[in-house]
Amino acid sequence: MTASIITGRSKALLQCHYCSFVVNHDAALEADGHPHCPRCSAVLHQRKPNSQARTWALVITAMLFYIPANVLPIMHTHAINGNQSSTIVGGVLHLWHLESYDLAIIVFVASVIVPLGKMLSLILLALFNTLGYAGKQQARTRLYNFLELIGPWSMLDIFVVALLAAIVQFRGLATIQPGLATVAFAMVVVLTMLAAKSYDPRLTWDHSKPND
Amino acid sequence: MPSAPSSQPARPGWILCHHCDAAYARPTLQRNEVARCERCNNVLLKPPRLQPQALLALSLTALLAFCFANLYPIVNVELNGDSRSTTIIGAAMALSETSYGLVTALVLATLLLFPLLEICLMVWISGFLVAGKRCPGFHGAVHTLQDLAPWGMLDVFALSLAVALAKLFGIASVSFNVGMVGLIGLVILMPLLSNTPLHELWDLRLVDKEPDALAEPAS
Ligand SMILES: [Zn+2]
Ligand SMILES: [Zn+2]
Repeated sequence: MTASIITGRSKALLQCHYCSFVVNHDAALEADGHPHCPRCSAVLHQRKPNSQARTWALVITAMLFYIPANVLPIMHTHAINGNQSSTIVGGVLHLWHLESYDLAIIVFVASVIVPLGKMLSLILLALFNTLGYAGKQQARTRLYNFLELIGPWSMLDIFVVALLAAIVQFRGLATIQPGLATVAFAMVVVLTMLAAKSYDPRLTWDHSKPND
Repeated sequence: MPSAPSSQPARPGWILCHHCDAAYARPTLQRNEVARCERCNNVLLKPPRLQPQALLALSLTALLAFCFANLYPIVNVELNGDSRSTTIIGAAMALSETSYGLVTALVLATLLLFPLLEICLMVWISGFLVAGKRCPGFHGAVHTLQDLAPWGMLDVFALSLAVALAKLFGIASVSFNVGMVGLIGLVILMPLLSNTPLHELWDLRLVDKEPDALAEPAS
């Protein structure tokens, strides 16, 4: 099926990431030793530099930060009927017990499903490339496109805590303070977004045999 | 008066799939036609749809909405006669009170700095485009816009506000303030603005010494 496909790499062609201009590698080489886009002067790469190593490093670091993000409290509530610290999952369970099922589901999806799903998917995608697996390429490309789309939504709980901490400052009655988990969780969001940005979907197709 | 530039017909030469690196001769598309990659089925090329006047109007409206959303409080919350209101900056600063500078910086960047930068660059670029010119600093401005694309999070913030307020309903009385109008405006306008086909900005032939495209591949 793909027998007739030629690739940019096989023709030594480079396409600018910013302006989509296509040039020949040798024609674009400049004095600094890198090819540059003749139209917008951006540095050109055949593939994103060190894509696999960067993706692995960023996603593993994100996994490490995900532990304190869930163990540490994300929010401290001081009220007249007592003080309380809650974790992300604790907050979801609390909403569930209050029968706010819709809120519980929104927060659970944004804070647990999205970041965890994103990290596991990136690990799977990077692993397939590392192993040189050449199957299911269309599905892998679709999964990556989806990951780029859902990226920022895990910031939800951080914004919720920030808003509550800004609003609920009723001295003597109730105050809310952000917990240390906000820092860890912010790191998870930024690191997974950077990991997705470092991943190069073209690597998925580089292992295709030309005559499959 | 110079007429507004329109996108040029497709340049000759190569086009590579951003998703799988397959190479094709750049197709000429009719209106409403979309070229897809034969190998990975992702969109390869769409007909140009950039309209400088519409972009300028959109970005100026977004600038207005941004001012309203940030100069006025978004909500008032009242509990036992004690009233609190918050702005977007207020929410970011609430995190800094407990000295989590990193999170404050991230919140300020994704809700304030990046959206404002995106809007201002769009006003700057499209303002000059309407006059048929490339703005000073065109390369840097468009590169910055393209890099910023995934980092604005006002839409996530709007959903967070709904969740936070739903938690407070029943406990305290919540009323909306002027800033809310601006925020709703931004939530509608920012996705439209971010949806601008930025790569088309490069295809507008506004300079004389445009480099030639590589010769068309022999097919
Ligand atoms: Zn370029
Ligand atoms: Zn493709």
